[in-house]
Amino acid sequence: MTAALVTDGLGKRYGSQWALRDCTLEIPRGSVTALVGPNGAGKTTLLRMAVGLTRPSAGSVRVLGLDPHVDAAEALPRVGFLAQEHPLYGGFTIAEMLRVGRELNPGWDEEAARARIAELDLPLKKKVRSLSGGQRAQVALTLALAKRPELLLLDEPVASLDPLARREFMQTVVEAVADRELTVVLSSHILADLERVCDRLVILAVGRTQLAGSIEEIVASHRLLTGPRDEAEDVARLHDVVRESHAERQTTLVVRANGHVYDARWTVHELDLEEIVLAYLGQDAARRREAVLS
Amino acid sequence: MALIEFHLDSRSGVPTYLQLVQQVRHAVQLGILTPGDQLPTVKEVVAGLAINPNTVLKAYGVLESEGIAEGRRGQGTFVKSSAPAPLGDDLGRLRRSLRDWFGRARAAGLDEQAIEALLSEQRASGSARRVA
Amino acid sequence: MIWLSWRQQRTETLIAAAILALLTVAFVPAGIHAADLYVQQHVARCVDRQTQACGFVVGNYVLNTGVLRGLLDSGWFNLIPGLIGVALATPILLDLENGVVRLAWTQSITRRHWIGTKLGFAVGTAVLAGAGFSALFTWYEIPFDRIFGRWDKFDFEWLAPVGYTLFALGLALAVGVLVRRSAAALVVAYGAYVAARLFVQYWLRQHLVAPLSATWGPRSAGPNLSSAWVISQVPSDKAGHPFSGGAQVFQACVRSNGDGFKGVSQACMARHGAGFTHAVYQPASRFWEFQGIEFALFAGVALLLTAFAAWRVLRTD
Repeated sequence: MTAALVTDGLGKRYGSQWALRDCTLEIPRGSVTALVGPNGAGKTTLLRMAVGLTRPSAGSVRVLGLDPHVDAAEALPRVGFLAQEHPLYGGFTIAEMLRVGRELNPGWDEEAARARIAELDLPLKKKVRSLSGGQRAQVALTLALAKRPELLLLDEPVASLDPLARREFMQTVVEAVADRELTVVLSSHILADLERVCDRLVILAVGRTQLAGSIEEIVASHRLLTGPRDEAEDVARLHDVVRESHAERQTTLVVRANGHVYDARWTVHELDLEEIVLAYLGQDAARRREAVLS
Repeated sequence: MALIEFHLDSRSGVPTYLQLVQQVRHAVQLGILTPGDQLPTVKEVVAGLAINPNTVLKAYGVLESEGIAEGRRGQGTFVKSSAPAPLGDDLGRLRRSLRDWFGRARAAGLDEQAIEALLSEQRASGSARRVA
Repeated sequence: MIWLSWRQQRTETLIAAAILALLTVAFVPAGIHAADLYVQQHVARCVDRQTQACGFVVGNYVLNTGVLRGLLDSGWFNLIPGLIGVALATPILLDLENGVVRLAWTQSITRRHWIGTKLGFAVGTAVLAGAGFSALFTWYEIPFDRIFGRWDKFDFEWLAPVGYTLFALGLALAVGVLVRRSAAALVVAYGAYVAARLFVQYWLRQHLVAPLSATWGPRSAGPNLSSAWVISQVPSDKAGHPFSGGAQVFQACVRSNGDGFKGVSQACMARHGAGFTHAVYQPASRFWEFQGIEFALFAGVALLLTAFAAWRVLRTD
């Protein structure tokens, strides 16, 4: 079965600045993938290219095997997209927003959409601009899901929401995943909730993929090593060091397992997902700091 | 309406799917769930906890392999008719030996935090993760 | 998409309709009154006759009916087609400015379909509004056109207002896709509309087709210019060149005519080579040709500007 999203050397340049560069990844169907990275990492650019809002400057992107720009008519009905600001027509009522969905999508499920709005306890006559942030997000999500996409792309969907609205939003998403064959890719710079909801992770930093894989595998394969300072270089030669930090007498390393056995002088600790991600993001920041200072 | 409701302790260090497995086992042992009862559907669990559906599928898979539950196509997952009966005597014996152990641990000078750390460590080493 | 285009344009369409309704309410009763009076006072007979009595009939008629017409004379109503055209561009520009297009572009229709339908709606509404404006004033002007000629209210009749409305719409769209701030874009576009209209009206139009010219002496009546567009009419010499020696000739030819009044002898003027009139004009018959050319000009430019805007939207990243 074709992967849900495949990129190959994908890049986007605005003027002389690359917002995304050399991005190669493959996201299988049925997964819920987190796209993680600091602001400006290229997450939004990647998602926009996947849905055809932006054209690549380099490389290629395929969604469900289709080119989102060339095959737009075929791809758009099958790919749902929710932009960060949860765009809706402010002066419209909820009923009118549903009508927009109905008129613009041949595969629209009106019954499910109405049922969902009723579940949310929102009157159809209510104007969109009078909705709270969380309600707005839910209405926008209803719109994205009611066209019954096979792939759902969410750009920082919960960044602007309070914790309860965040939880409710993600509940809706995973419920939809459980309900049907839905692949989800969501970008976020909030790491906390990701481990619950996602089974795959892609780390983007400085517009490049740093790490990609299943969360279970990532957590199982990364370790924190603490050991004597002078051993550091030897270890670095043997192991895949993600981040290192040195105290006067002690060195701490975050490493990715590559089959080597750790020397007995090193104490090995497990890491949770958040720590691993921060190690990758921190390595990147450190490199940038060095580049600036040197 | 689902028969039981799951909860998660995100700080326990125990993987989510294992927590679900333990809670089902616990419910069966206490008699809250009896053979033939339906476990909450994947959709119900996922909607309640906002977790990945695969996690629930994994938990239910483990329960099936342990013989505690069985999946019926198109209907859901059910507590198996041959689920191990509540322990009864075993439970009493285990409880007593635990009481003894706690007494010995405190006598050895361990405070509550040290005991907690010891318990977590042993619990975690029983799970799937292995040190490389 | 059709419902959506209408719904998003609803406010602006209603504004245009309200403006036209107001104009209708103001001008229709007066127009009916003017048409009735035209018949009652037998003005038709007097339109082409240059007698004093007819002059009085026509003058009296215009005095009694042309009060509202004075508003048209002032030219301010020329601003209305521009206002409507620019307003109709607003929904599209606002959508682009606040990013909600990302919603429409990620449903199941292509961007081409979206922009095509929206522009179709805006253009269609502009044509209707322009046609409504034109129909109202073309009808109102019927009796006055017979007196003053059609050229007098060229900008308000037949095809011209449709072209102007489309032009304003095209300008607003083109400027709007280049300048991301809608408010600024609309102001700039409207300014450009006014400038272009003034330029065409006061300079370009007369050059669109080479005008006719005529020179005639004091004893002949000259061509009938009552319905023509007289671009210039100046005293001249026999060859048609503007006469500059007016003061000396006047001195030389002033005569007392016996009643105590002084007059200028025409014969004397002719001997000095003066007393002719040279006129540059477009005849009444060319009205339709000019309407066609001006419409093609404004509508053609509007088409280019709109196509440009559509192209830019399709290339937005």
